[in-house]
Amino acid sequence: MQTIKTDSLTSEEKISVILGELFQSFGYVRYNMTKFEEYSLYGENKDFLSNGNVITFLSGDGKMLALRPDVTLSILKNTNATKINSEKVFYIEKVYRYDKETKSFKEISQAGVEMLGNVDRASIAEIVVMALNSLSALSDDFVLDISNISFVKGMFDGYGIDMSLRRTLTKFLKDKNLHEVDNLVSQNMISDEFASAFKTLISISDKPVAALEKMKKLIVTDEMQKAYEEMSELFDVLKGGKDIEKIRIDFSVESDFNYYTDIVFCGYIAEMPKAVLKGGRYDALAYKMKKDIGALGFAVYVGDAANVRHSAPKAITVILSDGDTKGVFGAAQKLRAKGERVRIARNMPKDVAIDKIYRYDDGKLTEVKND
Amino acid sequence: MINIALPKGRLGEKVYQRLASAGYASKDILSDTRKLVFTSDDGSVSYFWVKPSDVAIYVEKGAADIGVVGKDILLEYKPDVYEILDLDMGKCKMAVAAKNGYVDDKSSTLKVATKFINIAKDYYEKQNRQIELIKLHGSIELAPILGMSDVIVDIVETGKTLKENDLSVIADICYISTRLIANKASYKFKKDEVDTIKERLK
Repeated sequence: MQTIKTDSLTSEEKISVILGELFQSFGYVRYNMTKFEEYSLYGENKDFLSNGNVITFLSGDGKMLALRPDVTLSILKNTNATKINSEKVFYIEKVYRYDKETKSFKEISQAGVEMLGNVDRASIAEIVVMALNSLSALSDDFVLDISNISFVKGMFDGYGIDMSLRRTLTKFLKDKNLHEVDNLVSQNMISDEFASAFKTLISISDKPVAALEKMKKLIVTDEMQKAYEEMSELFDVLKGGKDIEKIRIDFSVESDFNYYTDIVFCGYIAEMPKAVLKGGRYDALAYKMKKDIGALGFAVYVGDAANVRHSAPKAITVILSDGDTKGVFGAAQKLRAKGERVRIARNMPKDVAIDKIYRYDDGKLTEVKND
Repeated sequence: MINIALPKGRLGEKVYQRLASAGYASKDILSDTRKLVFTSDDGSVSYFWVKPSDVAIYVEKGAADIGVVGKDILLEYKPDVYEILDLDMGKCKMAVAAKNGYVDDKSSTLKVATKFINIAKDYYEKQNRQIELIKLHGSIELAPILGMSDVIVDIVETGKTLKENDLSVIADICYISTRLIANKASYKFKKDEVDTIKERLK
């Protein structure tokens, strides 16, 4: 059987293969789906998508369909997982989303995993390890930020913060904006005590041990205590593993409280200016879709990662020839057998980088200087 | 090395002075006005001058690790960046202004001229007010004078321009000042350097 020479794959395809192999090694199975989905799925869960704009069209039988802007919703809709029988799937798919910057639709390549059913501590640790391994496959220099929504919610509850103020404060948390928290104090909208605790929360961006120390001092409710213990246990399981020093506890990880619960995370590689991996636990979304299961997963933005890892195509060898077809074919095959990439051409090609040039004349190859 | 995007113009120069006195001076930055990139004398930071409204783009895209930008730009374009410090400079407010004596007719669609489409939209959406937005790029004050709009949404510093044009503020939207922003990914990898600059600027 022939082996696959990965040189012919694009960076995006290579990354997809690497991640696919990685996900499979954890016993996840590939989930394939069509590019179309009934529009109603997105209409009902508009807030889950960062932008409700989707490409829609009518099918032959009059159904409103959409080009899929998201994979998670489709997997969740179709899952047969229960709290007893879990499903672990991975996907490598394209999604179509509206890009507010260019005001047009964009094709986005994603590879990701979803764990549906009984989300226990072992599966949370497993997903975190898979996220670390995915980042490590993309770059030598990476960071995985982990946050816990229940801890933040618990703090809001503990200090009796009302719903409209929570939105504002969550934005400050996401932006690491300390100064506007002070402004709220001077407007008497929050107490000094809460402001000081919340500012500590915003400032946390540390390795697990140091961060957990800081978190411990902030606990004022049972929910926070529970979230703290969960995080603590998670890092206890992970302790000593590969790349654990790349984890930071950081509460600026963006997450919608309506869909996510407990752990959320976000991965960065040094070569890319924005997050390359996003994920978390979304039991609340599953519940909204009337599925009584736990749900956890992440997606890697394969297309973006490929753009920063893009390498120029390798140069080829050219044989210039204008006669003796049989002879030149044979000469080219001999070079190909040695592993060279060979193109036969009448004139010098302009569409490709050239390594070596030969001229085929009188039954033999003569190397020509490449100017 | 930390890349810093500074807004061209008076405010950018003032911010540079603050950075210079915080230990990040560059000998030739203010002398050569055509050059766009400068390195600090100690080699720890690199500055570049960009159009004020582009600072957030340079930072969001990671071309600059940090940048200096007005809160108005952050509110209008909502870039995905960390807003790490209020530099307490360039203070002004975003306000709604109209011709002196203007009376709002709440039964009709309000015509709003502005440079800040999103800020205006957010403000009136919260009030459930039907509006017609007119996007302008400058001389906003002209719109109500010529009857093209009922009101304008714009930055008000001293109110002098409004006064000279027989206009006045009818509602404040929010207070604006200059902010230090950071790219989210580079903050992960250069946190100590960025935090040092932030502390020295405080």
